[in-house]
Amino acid sequence: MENLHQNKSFWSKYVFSTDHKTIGTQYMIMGMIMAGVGGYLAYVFRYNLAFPGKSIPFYGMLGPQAYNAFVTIHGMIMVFWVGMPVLLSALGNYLIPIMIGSDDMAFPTVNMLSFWIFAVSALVLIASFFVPGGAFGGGWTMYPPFSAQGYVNHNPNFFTALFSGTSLLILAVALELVAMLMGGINFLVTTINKRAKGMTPWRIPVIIWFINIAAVIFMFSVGPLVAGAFMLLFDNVLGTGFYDPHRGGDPMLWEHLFWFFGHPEVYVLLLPSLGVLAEIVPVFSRKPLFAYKTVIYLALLSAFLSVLVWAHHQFVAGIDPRMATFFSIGTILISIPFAGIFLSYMATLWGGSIRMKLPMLWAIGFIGLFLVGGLTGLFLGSNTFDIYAHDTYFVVAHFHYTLFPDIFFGFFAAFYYWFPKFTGKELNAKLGKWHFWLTFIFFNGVFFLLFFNGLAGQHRRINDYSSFSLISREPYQTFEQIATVCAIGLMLSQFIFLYNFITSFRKGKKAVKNPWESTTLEWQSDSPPPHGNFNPYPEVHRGAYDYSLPEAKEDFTPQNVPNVN
Amino acid sequence: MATTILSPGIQVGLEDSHGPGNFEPIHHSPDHDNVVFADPATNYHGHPHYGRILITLLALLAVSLTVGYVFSPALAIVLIFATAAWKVAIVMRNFMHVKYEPLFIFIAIAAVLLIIYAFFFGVYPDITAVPRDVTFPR
Amino acid sequence: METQQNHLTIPIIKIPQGRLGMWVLIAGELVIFGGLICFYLLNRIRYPHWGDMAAHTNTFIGALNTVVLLVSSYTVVRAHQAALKMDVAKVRLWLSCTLLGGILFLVDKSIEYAHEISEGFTFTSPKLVAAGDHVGSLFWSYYYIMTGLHGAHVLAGMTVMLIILIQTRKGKNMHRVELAGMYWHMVDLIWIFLFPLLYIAK
Repeated sequence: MENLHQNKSFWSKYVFSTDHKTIGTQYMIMGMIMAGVGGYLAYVFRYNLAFPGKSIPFYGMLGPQAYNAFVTIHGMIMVFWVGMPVLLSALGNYLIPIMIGSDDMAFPTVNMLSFWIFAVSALVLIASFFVPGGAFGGGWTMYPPFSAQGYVNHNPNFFTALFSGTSLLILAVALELVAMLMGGINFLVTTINKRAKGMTPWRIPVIIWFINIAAVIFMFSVGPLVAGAFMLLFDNVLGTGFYDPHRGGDPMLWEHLFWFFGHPEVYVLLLPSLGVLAEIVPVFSRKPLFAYKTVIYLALLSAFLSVLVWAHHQFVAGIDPRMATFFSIGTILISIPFAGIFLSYMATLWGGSIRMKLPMLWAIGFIGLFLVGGLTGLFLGSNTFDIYAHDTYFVVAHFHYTLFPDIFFGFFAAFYYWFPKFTGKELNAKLGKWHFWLTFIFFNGVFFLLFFNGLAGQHRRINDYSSFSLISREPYQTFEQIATVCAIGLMLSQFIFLYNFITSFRKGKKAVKNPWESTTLEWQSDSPPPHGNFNPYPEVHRGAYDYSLPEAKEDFTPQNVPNVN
Repeated sequence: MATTILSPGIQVGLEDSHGPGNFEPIHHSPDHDNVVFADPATNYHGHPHYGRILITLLALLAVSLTVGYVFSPALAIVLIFATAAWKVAIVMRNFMHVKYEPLFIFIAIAAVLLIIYAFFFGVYPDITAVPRDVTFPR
Repeated sequence: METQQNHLTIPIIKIPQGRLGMWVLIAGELVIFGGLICFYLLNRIRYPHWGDMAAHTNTFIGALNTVVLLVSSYTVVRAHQAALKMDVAKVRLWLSCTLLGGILFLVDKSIEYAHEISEGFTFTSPKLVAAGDHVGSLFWSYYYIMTGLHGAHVLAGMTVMLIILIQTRKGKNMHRVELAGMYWHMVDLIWIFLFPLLYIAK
């Protein structure tokens, strides 16, 4: 049985593989490549903001149209082509089967198909830069009428409208959503059906719970957007009037259905990262996770609330004021479950014998930075303040303070934590620490000062402030320049990570089976795990966080240990 | 047929229904094509009288087509959608065998409907409360 | 044989893997159509004029299609019943009946579309737009996208059914008959809601 899948050609082993670990790696690499693309775009437009009118190294001059396109595609890439594949798909594919003690996903072929659809969607997105007219530049939310101009502009040439940047972007997003839907079905079925013996629901590690809750939120909120994306495509290509007020349609409908998906999407990205923290914090505090069941109930509560708060993105769009109050209250309510989850992590740290290893550094960095993002989110959730701060750099700083720790700190924490397991090699800890501190400092350098720019009223969709003397006055232009320098530093410090990754992978020290002394099932398998993960299959006897049991000899008791004596 | 009909309601996804001796280690089945059947333990379907159900469905369809001629429009619309909902319930319960599935499935489908309702609720004032003469020719 | 059973044996909640996956897929599809029906309803409440447009749809063909789908739902559930008894001949008979129902549905739909297009009601309805009736043209856009998306699902269901019809020739993959059936019932469910929305409520 074990050898059945070993003797395969290069193509079926590494490229069109159905093994969940290979697919997880593919998703991760793809996400990293796309992060490189998104980072490059960010570098170009940040440089333009700091030094307007100057030629940009490695790019050239940036016009207003290209500036808009770069900002738009940067947002798109970072949410849909970096956050989603890396946090949901890569972590989900890697961890779900092995942490629940199974051999593979429930539908391995669907899993492979999901990745390849995702790869095609990334290609379509990149291709949209190279069609006549360039990539779409109307903001990553794709609000009509910007996104429905194809028919008007290119009439009667159907194919020009179909292969415009706008249509290709809508198409790429639709393909990406399909890929993630297929992945989500797989995650849910795998977790429900393929658990090892004794892996009862209340013994499943928190990260598996969270990834599945994220998959459920995603599946239930994405539906209207799929239908709506078709309608937008038809508006753009065929000239229907679904979102055109001249034609009886309503652009508000698109805003609603985009944010009906777009806001739960934030929690789809957040929950897997919080799950990573829930794995790392107990291991490096040598304590059981505080209030395990409550954490999961809180996540379920937040999943429920997440579909009721979407319109707080539209406070200035002219929604019904009665609804604005409702959504304001909902938004502030949803901070309660997340505050509860963070409280549980704090309580886990409290009084633990903390080991400040690399994953722990990233985890604590995450908690600290996300606190800033979360607290500024409370201000923005109140519609009175949001009307002032909307579309200023305050919002930009706020969502980067939530999404950057979420996507990058969460991913790096997971990466440094599970790297020894999935490659069998150790990472260079010293380089890792450099990577962490440089990233941490530079990230704050980029976005902290932008809060002040936003409060001063600096609008966020302008490519050249020099013609607006009121908002480009000092010190705000200096703040922009500091932010740009730090952004370049932030990107350069990621090369440390890349170097560390490649050298450690090629000739790192061989890792032991369970280097962090963790209890969950994946550490009981070999490093790297063979095809099929376990031999023999484990039987689970206890919860996922049995650290420092008083009756046990060691301070951790793996899940498959029957009795500690 | 050796079917074990489990009463829905005891099998919620969160409960551990792991009976002793119920477990076989999970292996990767190399030959997906040769899977013949669910084993009797999981094959818990009963089979209602499908012909009778079809006749009920067609009768309901006839009702929904005729109410428009009999009652006032408002009542007719209520009746038409009531029969549609009834038909959907019948198809799901009998043809899709929801009445034999664990409660878990029912909860999932109900959650879908709730979410759709939440969406409708949130968007309703913005689309329908706008003055109707908002449109004009270009 | 024992590994084959293990592949489907579910230790935790007693739904076979394929059926559970199909339920999750159906839940996802229902949200897509649910959203679309929401958009339609919102606009229907906003524009009473849509009632005049809905009067142009052909209730007879709509009702006929409902009957066709209900009957084909019945035939596919009979196929599932036969599959449980491993009765290959009957499975193939009932599956073929279902496929025939799908074809009949699409033929009806094409006749209907042809009729409507000949009256000038198309996806963008240039005739109505030229007459200044933008709201009416929006109705037809919704009509075509809803029935079109549903028709695409009918086609998908038929493709799956055809593949299974070929696979069951040697008695293989009999459990998949039920999965295709569940998908087909979902297509039926959506039509049950589309029919009163687009055809009867005038």
